[in-house]
Amino acid sequence: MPAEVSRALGGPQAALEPAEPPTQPTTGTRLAERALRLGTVAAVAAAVALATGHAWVLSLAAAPVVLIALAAPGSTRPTRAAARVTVTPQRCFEGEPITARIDLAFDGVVGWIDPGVFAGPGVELTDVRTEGPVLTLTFAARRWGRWSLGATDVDLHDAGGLTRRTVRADLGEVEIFPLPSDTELTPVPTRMPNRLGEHTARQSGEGVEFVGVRPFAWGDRQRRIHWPSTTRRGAIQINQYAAERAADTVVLLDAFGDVRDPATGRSTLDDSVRAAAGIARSYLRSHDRVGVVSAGGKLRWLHPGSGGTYLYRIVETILEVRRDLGFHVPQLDRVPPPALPNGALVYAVTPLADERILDVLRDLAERGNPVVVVEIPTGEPKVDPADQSAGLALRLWRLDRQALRFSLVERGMPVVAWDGSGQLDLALAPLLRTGVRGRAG
Amino acid sequence: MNNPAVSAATPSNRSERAAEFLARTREALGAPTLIGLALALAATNPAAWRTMTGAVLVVVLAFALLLALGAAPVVARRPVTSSSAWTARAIRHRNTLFAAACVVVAGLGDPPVWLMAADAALLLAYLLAADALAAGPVGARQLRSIRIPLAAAGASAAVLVVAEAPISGGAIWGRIVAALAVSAAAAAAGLALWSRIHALRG
Repeated sequence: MPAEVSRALGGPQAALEPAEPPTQPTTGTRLAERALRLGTVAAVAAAVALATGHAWVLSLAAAPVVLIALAAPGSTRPTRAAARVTVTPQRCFEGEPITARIDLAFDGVVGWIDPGVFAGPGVELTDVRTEGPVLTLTFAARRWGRWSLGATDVDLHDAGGLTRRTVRADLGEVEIFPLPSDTELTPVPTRMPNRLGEHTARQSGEGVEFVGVRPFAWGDRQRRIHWPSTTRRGAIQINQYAAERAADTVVLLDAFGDVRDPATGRSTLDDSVRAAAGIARSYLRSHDRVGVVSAGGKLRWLHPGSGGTYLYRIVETILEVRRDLGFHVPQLDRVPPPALPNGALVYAVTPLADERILDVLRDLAERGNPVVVVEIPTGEPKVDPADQSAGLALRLWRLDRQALRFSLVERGMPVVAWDGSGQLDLALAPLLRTGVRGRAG
Repeated sequence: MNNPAVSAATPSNRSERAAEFLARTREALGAPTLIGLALALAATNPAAWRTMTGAVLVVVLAFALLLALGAAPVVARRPVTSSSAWTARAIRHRNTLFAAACVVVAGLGDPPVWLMAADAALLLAYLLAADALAAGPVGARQLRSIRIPLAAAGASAAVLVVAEAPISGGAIWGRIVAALAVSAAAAAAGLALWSRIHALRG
């Protein structure tokens, strides 16, 4: 960590955790550390000389007094100060840099601009640069969410470093979007809505994929005649093509809890949001309609829509789920019909760690929607290898998880697991062989 | 099962801790610490060590050593008050307390003149070193300019000469010494003013 960054954060230890800004600093002029040090030494030396009667001790006071006299700012001391903050960009993806430019305005002469940064959660200060009256702070977006970027207290020291004046700059809020998982596959349900799209449906239609031949009917176009079978059967046969339809997809995000893997420290909520963003992006690229429902303490939803920019609306909807962790059970009956169209393919992204999400999945299955459960593994609990009963408990835990998955598959909901590290496509690939069936399909 | 993420993170943490330990050691044994150690030892009046008993001498030296190693390394962090407790404040201002403690201990003794000069020189060196590390570009600029340390040293020397010159006995050379001391003080003041005017113009 660079020295100026460490100083701005208040030391290497303070850099490890986000800091809450202290109370509003004093707006007036205060003595700097240097003046306190030199003044204290001079005063103590003079007092000791007076108390002991040792005149030579005054020589110990002479040097700091001269240093103070030489550094006295006179009328050049800044008496007014203001800061203007410009943050770019205010929306970004994880890992991207965020730059906060603080333009300082002051009168007098400033010898040293000393910033103290109280970075908010989700961002990390990586660089501090001072060029004239402009202070540039560079942050790295570390974790998705809608975060406060923090605040900065800028100390303006006079030319001699004896007094300082502090001005606070509030850096505002930023939106950090999750990095979508690397996904391209788009499994579709067996029955899709009657809307033109890119997925090959089981119904015959006007697509380009050949599915068979049928006898000629009045009105068929001559260019569709399949000559080999016509010659073989002695009657005119016509090519048949599959219809191409668009799918309705709804991503159901489990925000009932956030479980940390004891081995890797990964957050299931982080991985869930990345998986949801990846799924939404891949279906939007296929020109399907994608919606989102986040089930947590508060039910949030966005009706299915399409288009490249719709991904940002989806992500903005789920940015708040971290604040929604609560104990309420959402009632899916109260979800407006546009949020969950009939027959829409539902991706339930969940760590399967909360009983309430099972109720939600049961309700979805009863509605007849085809459901795919994307399980975000929570990691196995750590046990002492020497503890026999702990080993048995772990075995029971594994069996319980297997039973849970089996019950979901039995209800017609395939379960695929994604641990957040590999490609989500590998988990979704088996679903391409057969369409996802729901009770309605 | 071996977790690659954990096993990959462990050496990194170790190297970070090692680097932090080295940085702290370097900070603790830097030039200000050595100057502070010399100042603490000089403040205990080495000329009087012969008159001390062994146990007292060991206690005095150990105290000076601990004081120097604990409080002399320069605190270069931002002046942010984390707590209003006096212990936190004392830790925050330990450099100031260290210098003041050295002044008190030195002032209580009655050292020879050469040790007085050494005390004054070491105190000035420590204050300049602390400014260079903790006062940002202002302190570094002050150390780069030879005039400011010279002015401070000249003033200190002038006061010491005036304080120790035997000018009250009526001898003729006493007046000469006094005149020299006044001249030195005037020169130091002039140098200081000239340096200040030069700095303002620059």
